[in-house]
Amino acid sequence: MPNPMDANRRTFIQSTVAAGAAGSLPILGQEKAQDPKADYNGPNLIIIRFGGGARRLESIDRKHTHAPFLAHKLSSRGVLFNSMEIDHFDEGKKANGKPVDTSHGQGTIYIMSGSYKKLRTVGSGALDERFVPSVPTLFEYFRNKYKVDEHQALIINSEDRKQEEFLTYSNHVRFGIDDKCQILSLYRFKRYLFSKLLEEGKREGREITVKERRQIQQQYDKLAAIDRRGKLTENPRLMEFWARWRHHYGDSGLKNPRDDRLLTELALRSMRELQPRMMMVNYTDCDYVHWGIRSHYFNALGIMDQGIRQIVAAAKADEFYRDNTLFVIVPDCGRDNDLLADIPFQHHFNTKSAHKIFALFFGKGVPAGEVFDKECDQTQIAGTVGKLMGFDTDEAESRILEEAIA
Amino acid sequence: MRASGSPVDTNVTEVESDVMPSNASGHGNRILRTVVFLIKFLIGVVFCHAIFTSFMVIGWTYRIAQRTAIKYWCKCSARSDFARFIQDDESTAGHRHWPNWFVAQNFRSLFRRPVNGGLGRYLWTVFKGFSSSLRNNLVLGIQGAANTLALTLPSGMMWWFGWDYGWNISFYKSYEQSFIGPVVFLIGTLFFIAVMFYLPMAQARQAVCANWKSFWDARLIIRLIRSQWIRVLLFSGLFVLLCVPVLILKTAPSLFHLSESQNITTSEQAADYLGKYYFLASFYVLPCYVLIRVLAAKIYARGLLTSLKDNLVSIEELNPSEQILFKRLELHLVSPPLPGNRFLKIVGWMGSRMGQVLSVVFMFLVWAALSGAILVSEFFNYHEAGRGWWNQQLVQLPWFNYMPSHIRHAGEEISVAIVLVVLVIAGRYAGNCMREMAKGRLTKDLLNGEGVNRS
Repeated sequence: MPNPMDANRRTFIQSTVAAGAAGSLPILGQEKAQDPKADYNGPNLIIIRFGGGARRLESIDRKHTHAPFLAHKLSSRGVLFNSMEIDHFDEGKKANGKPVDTSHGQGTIYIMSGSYKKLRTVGSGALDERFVPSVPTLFEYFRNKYKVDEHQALIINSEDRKQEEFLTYSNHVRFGIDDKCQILSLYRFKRYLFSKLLEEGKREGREITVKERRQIQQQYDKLAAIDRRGKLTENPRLMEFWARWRHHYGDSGLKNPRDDRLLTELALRSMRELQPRMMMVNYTDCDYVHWGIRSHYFNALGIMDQGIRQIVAAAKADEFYRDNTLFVIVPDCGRDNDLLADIPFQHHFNTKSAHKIFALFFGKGVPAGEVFDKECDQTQIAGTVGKLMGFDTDEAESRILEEAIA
Repeated sequence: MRASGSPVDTNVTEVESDVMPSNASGHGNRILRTVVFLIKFLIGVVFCHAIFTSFMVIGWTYRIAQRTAIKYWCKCSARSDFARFIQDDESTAGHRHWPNWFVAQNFRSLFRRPVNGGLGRYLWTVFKGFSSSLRNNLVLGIQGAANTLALTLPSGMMWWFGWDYGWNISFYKSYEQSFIGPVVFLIGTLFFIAVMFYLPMAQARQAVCANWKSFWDARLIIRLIRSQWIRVLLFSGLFVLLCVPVLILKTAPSLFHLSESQNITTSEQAADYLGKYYFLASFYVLPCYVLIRVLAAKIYARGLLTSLKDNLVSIEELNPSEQILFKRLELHLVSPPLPGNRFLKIVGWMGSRMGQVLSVVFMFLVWAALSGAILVSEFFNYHEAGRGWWNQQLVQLPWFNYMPSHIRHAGEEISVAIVLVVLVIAGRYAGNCMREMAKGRLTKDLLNGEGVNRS
């Protein structure tokens, strides 16, 4: 039986072409000097992407918030920058010759990389743009400097945004695939599960039929085909993680938490089982408001808020994280405030409102109970995090948020 | 005169037939007619702004459609002088001009006091005359909307439910029921397509007969559609083409008119801006709405003649008002040559059975395309309370006003419209009852008087 994890001719060609097309130079990254890395003893980092797209009004405005834990409890525990903007310094416009996009994949990269440099794409469709950071991400800076295993640098991703499954490393000449992070998502679980089903020939104790095998193989190939940047490396710790997940929730995919609650569950489990030193949870369900049902936006904010409460509580309860974790909560983008529309919450029109976001820093190394109205920029987060965790972010925005550092 | 009781409701005042000017051209010159037309048109545009007033637009348009059909039949008959023909009978005399919005047709005649009438009766006639068209437009419009919505609301509701439920499933990842949204949406679409095969001709029949029941003469209407399949097909294509700009106008505010780019910062400013926008957009919506009804009425009128000629329909099957008209025009006796286009005749000659089958396929695709366009427009700019699903201006109500809910909640206007409709229906029912009672009392008095005389 062929092992689906093995690179076949198609995936090899795809990855080679994609790497070439994106100007990716991971090979150079692999050849960089093998300096011994230092052990990391600084604070852990948990970044919550308060996504996909959330306005200040429904998030941090105490009167109108749909995220009461964030607005009433958490905001007083750290430093709230309530006038943060996307491309406040016009750097993106200067660098790219056009305004930056206010969207999810883009916003995630701005947060992770601290830069608005033009994003490269690896294959794309109209609704499926696949971006590649052109400057290093926080994960790369971090793992490049410190001896941190891949499974301790995690992105928790939503199954709805498969195009964000591959933001694990940049195509920067000095960094790249060796410093990549890992992803936990249903997409990853399905790739694990389908390969196991094909290997075992059984599903939930029952022999799978030829027809089922063919269907599973097709599903697997479909998932693998969108991974255009290279073969997924099998991380033994993650395989163990998925094995335990499968044991607990079964093969159906219908017993585990759903929607953004799934991301919370993945985050909590990974904190227990993998103890990530750097983790980014990419909540995304606010974006459902695109289809017209405004309650989806408000509900998604509430679900995120509850998820944050659980993650913060879990960090407090776990000795590994307690008093040694830096939290950052920041939206990937804002949303419109279009008074002419029934549903005013879109975000693709580059309105001022979609640029208006916020950021909350709290935890290790951050002063408590401060609110700043000063206008600041989303790309300042990466540098500030680097400063707090003790690594350089030389390709990121150099003006850091000094107010967030105790 | 009752809105639908009369065979051919023309909304002429009772005194009018006595005083109809002998010289018709004396009614006014071309400029005056143009000015009056523009005023009528402008009122129609304004009435497209609210649900309740849009019923009046429907009624007004139905009266135009009725006039169109009569004019067509007149043209096909030996009595081709329309102006002369309509003056011959009180029931058609009001069709000399396009219908009024408020006052009775030829309302200037109201001010000529009959020689034998008392002052009270005169004032009552004037009072009634001033609201005659208003009442007729409203009643005809409510009847028209009721029939149309009875057929189209199910599909609109299924679209609305299918869309919202489908995205709720997607949001909550309730995959076990994932089929419900798409299946309901698909059923709604198939239902809409089926309805649209029938609806335009049914609306035309209701308009021409001025009788809501005639909308449901399915056997007759289907025979007419089959007899005019090539015209109905072309008409359907034009219908959908006219709908596309309406859908673009509906969607545009959220795509091309962002409040930020218009420097709009308050709800009041937004209301002002959108009020003007929808008013201007109605300058396209209203003519299209009228054009579709006029064309449908022409096809209907032609279809009825053709069907009579080919013995597909007998004169007894027609509505009483149509029977009267056909007898007056002697259309039931002769087979008049129908005006037609040579191209259409050739197309019609080419294998009608095959053509009918193909036309069914094409019409299915045409109406499916409209369903798809509606889906795309709501995808780009969703409207709450299902407004974008259950009302398409050129199909149902010409109500073109999508004020966002932060300005005015859609449910509020819908509720007010429903209450007003109920009041109108109740008022009309009460009026009819009183009229019947008065008539009964008069008959009784007369009988009593006779008895006294005999004794």
